Amino acid sequence: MSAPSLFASLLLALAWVAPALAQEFPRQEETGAMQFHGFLGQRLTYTDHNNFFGKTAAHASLEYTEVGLNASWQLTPSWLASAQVIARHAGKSESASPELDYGFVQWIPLDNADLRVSAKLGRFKIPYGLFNEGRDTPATRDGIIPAQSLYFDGLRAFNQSSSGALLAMEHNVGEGLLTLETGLSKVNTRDENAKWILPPYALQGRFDSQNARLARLLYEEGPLRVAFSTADGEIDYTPATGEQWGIVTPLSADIRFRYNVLSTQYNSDRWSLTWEYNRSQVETTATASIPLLGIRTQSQTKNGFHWYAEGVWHLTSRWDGTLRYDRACNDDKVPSDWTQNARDWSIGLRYRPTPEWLFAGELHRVDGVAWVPAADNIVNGSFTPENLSRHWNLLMFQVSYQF
Amino acid sequence: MKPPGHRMWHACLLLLAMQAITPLAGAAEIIVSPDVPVQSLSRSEARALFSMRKTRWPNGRPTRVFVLAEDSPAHQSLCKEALDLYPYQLREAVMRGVYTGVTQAPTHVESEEEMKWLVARTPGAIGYVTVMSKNDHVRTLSIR
Repeated sequence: MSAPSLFASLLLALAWVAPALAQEFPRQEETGAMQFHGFLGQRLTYTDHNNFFGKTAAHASLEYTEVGLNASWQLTPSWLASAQVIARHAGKSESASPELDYGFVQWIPLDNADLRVSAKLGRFKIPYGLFNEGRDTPATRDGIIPAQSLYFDGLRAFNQSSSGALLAMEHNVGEGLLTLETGLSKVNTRDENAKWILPPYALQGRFDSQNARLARLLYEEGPLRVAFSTADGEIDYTPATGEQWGIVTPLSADIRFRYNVLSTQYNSDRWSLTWEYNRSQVETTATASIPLLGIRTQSQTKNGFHWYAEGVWHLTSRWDGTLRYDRACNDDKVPSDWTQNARDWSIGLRYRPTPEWLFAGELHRVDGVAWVPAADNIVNGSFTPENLSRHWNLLMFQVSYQF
Repeated sequence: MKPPGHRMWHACLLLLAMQAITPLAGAAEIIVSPDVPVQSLSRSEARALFSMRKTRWPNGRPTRVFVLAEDSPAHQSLCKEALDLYPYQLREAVMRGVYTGVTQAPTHVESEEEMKWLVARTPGAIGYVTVMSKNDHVRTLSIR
């Protein structure tokens, strides 16, 4: 079965099953605390230049559909098992094949008035910034697309979820709540765009993650949320048999990454202000056999900075308006190289007529292509950012349903 | 014809009366089923309960959380007065928990009458209402 037809079947199946599930499990107390939830989202995308998840350049595209279904089972007050399967069709970047978004057991050994300790084992969403965990559900995502500088969808798998263990401690400090999460896990490396990490080559080999160390400290008090997130890890690349990069024969490669993110959010009755700043380091080391020169190892380090500032106006309990400036710089040695940078001004409007339905529209005016997804912009088998358009506009509409 | 000053005096009286009555009429009270083993909650505990993070009472029994529609006066009052959160903050926190698998969703009820009926009959239940009567078999909890 081809991916689109499998996806269409999934959509139909979910649309058919959702009301039945909701009917079947209306109340926690009647069901032994088993719950099912899910969502469907469809996007209409138009860009004047550059493809963004679909053939969108001078073309209105419906090639972005997402569907998710989750189940959670409160085995006892201290044990919870939950899992979510999502399928996304996002142009050539994601094929709509269902994948396990998260699946873990959570144990809460301690829960008293001031301290709560929990441990997760399995695949979980990576605690990163204020929006990473919610980025795959239209209702919890910040906008139709979250700020691409920090929540880069062009290599989504790498910072979406990871498999391992995560320990969380929540401590009440006065009127506030301090949460520390620390974990050791392997990041998900199944991403179509990973092929294009070293442009213009279509990498044919395999990516494997080493254990990454993750941590986030979050403080919440009334209107205020402040967080610091950090991680460091390594992803190894094993070339396919006979793989060639031009005249070079790759033997091995690894990518070491580190990031530190500072996040702040202030909420009031009518508006929310959010600012997040990320300082990242990506070190790529490749060993290859080069004709006449023999085996050579080469390293490249890119220090990047990424930040955005956003204001959301809560016009009514159903309408939100958003204004955001998003700045990405993947390599601070070349701050004026538009292939490594992006400046994005965007405005958006969201309407929530019922708790289940969400309609949204968003317009982006972008200078630079740092976060244009590679897989959607392949020409003659190679990805060449220089061939993209530096100045481009992105218009999106999205309708989503959740239960 | 009455002088304009007279009408203003009446309007002032009416305003004063409304100010005196409104907070009483609109304020949500947190209610629990008779078996719940606590007499009061800290604001942090109340937030943990309504954002679904707290799943058991001090005696180890499971919590059951009931909520009204977000735009209902009781829900607005619960968020702003008891929890010191804006309703959209609570909604976002609950949704984040549900779609990342960390917490379950609360049970939605249609009316305050249904809320009282279910809280009274569900062990470990917690909810909120703005209007109580003598015949309700629920207890109220204060925020300390």
